[in-house]
Amino acid sequence: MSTSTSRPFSTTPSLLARKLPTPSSSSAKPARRNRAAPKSENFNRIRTLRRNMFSPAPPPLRMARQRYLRHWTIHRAWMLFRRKQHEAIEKERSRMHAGMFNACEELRKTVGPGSRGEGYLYRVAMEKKGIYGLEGVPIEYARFQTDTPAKEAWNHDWKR
Amino acid sequence: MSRCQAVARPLARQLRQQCSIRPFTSGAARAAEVQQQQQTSSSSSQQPSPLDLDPNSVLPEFEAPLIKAGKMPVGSRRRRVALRTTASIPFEQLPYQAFQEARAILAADRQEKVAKIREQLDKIAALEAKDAAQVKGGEKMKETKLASLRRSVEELKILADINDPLVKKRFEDGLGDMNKPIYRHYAERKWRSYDYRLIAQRIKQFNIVPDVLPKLDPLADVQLFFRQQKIAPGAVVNSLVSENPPRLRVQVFDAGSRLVSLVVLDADVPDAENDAFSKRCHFLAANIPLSPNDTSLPLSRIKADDQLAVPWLPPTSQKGAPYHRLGIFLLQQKPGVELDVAALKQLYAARDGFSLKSFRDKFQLTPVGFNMFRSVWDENTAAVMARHGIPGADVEFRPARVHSLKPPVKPKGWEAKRQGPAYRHLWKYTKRIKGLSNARGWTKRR
Amino acid sequence: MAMRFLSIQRPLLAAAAGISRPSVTSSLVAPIGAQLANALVQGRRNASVKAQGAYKKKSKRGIPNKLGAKRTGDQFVIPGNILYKQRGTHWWPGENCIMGRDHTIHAMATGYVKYYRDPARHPDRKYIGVVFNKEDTLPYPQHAERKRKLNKTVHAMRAEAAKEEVSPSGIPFEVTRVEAGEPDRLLRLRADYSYREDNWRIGRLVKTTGLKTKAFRTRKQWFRHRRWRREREIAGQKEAAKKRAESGGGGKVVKAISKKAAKKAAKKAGKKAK
Repeated sequence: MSTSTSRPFSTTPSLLARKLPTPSSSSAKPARRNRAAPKSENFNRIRTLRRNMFSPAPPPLRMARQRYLRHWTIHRAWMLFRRKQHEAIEKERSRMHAGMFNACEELRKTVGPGSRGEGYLYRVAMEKKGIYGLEGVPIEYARFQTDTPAKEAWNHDWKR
Repeated sequence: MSRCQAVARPLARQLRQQCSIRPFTSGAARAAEVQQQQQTSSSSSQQPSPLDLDPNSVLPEFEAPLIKAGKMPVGSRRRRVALRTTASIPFEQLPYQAFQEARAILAADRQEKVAKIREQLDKIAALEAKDAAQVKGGEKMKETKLASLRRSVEELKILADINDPLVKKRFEDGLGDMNKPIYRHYAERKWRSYDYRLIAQRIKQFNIVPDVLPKLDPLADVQLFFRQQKIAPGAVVNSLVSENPPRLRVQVFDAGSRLVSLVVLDADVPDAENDAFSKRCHFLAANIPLSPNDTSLPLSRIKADDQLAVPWLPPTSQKGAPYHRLGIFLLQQKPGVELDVAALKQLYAARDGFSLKSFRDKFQLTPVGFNMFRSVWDENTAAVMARHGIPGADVEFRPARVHSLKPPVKPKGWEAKRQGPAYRHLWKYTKRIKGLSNARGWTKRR
Repeated sequence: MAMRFLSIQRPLLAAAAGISRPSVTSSLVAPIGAQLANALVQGRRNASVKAQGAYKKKSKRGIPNKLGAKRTGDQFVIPGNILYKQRGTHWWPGENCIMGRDHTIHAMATGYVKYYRDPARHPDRKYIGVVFNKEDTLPYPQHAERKRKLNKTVHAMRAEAAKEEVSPSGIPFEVTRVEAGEPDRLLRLRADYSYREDNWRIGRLVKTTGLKTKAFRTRKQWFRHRRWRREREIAGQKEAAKKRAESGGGGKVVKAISKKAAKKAAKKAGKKAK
């Protein structure tokens, strides 16, 4: 859309009509020096942060009666949904934990195999020798512990 | 229009449409239709429909006369046009997708809650049918279990309806039926959010709690109206306004009807002989039925012989006395117990020296509601006292003089030495000196 | 102590002895160093030596005489009496007492002073209170009625003096100014014998003028107006910038140049032309 097109059906003020930056017009801000230059992997995140971190908070919602009621209904339903979801997850997890606990308890009570005493299997099951490799340490402890850990614990593809 | 006509009308309209004669060329007919539509639209632009007289749905071309009439159009033009077509859709059927999804979720939840209620009710019925000997823990445990089940049913009743937007709307419009637990729950929550805190603060800051009762935690909302005007708790009320008994608006938040006693008590009657304060009963009534649905309680309407014990006495304050705290106390009677009003009349006919604490203990009452106002000496008090034969309008209280503990000191200085008649010639230098003395004598203390 | 002092001073002593040894017989006056050494040995200090402080320090415990209790327990006091002076709040005002600006505690009633603690009010504060009866103990029981005194005496009410219409100098205290088409104005006689309206009455006149102080009827209108105004301003600025760009040739602002620089530039241009 060129700047000279008339907008007969638009009701928005002309200022709001988005104009493409024309190279001919002298702009006060210099254009980005090299658009094709490689961007950092976090470019999008940083841009979003820059835009939103220092901008003022949006105004509080102002709604008329019925719209507010609809909003409230949706909000309540969302809260209910979330709660049910959480409860379901919690329930499943506790079920799994209880299952594991019962299995271990069973192991602890069994005698054997062979001449082994009571609870031998349990003790063996609880050993964590070698599961992180020989003389190994869990990979989580090989890096600094932080409050905000990265989404991916370790970048395996990294090469110097 | 008769009923038969009303039924027949749409039918007739359909027939008329079908019977309209059509020429062969459909194009001409369409053109004619367009023309007709144009005509109707142009006529509509001249003749405002009833929708155009409503500021909520007026079209742009009819805005000007409406504004001239003093009614500003509401909202944007787009909204108004939308409202013209969608005003007839009921709220719960509004075609918003997220809204309808949300309603579906909430409805499912409600079904769950209702099923739970049914389950609990079955449990209650089973437990009630069971003999107490068979329940583990005996009669006491059975009662405890029943109470807990009933409580959970009440909670579930509230939870079943708490997500309904129409219930919320009805409550906000003041149309809620207080016999239903959900509306009572909403009302109580609203009261607790502000009014209860205000009353609790007044009880504390005006020392109602140690002075009148050792403990007071209101459970009901009591509002005070003098001459149709709401009085904020603790406000100073003109004696002319408080000459006539007030009207109370009492909202209780638990189901059922109960009997209450009502006491209006002045906690600051000055007692000059003993240099202390005493209490006075300004109004006493008993056996007043209250339920969540009927809230209005005008004191002037309480006249029945088995209710009114001590009639209204206008609160007055003598000049110079500190403000009087007039507390309005609502005390719940034991269920099914009526107080003997004749005995009350006899006991408290002399209003002075009324003790709310002993009243409460004697008749086993529990205070449930409280409100208060204050009264001070003002320009109308003397007239009110004269009208009702209350003595004390002709005296005033002045602060008691406190004398210094230090012995008086003889005046010192050049002037003090020359006050006597021997120094009459110096009097114009030694008498009436600012800071030292005036016409009545020596003023300087030390 | 003295022994230790001597051992510390040993090099000094030796030096002094070394100096004084050859002149033991000849000079009667010992050198200054020796004198000093002797004085130190004997534990004396002359005025020429500055003290090192410690013996001048005062005790840090205790409070100045001006602070502390001014009334003892059970002593009779009247309102306004100072009971305790302090820096900070070692003591707090209890029954019938108040705390002043400098934490001084004053009595507010006639009675007897009591020093007490009230764990129900605060676990570790000490309070000073005044009771009406000497036998009473503080704190009072928690849910008992407060003990109060009226502290007033009854007097027959004085009839208010009738207000005179005319001042002693024979002119009225109040005059009403009546003018057609204007509200009546009440003028009152002042101390300087002028008649003037009360200031608060003048303030009331604003309402009679029908002046409009708010330009916008609703909040929405005002915001819309502000939005439109800003849009207009921005549009105007853009327009101006555009015009400037068209007329000025590529938006370059012509710099103010000194004469010398202009000459230089002209020269350069001439060279290029050649």
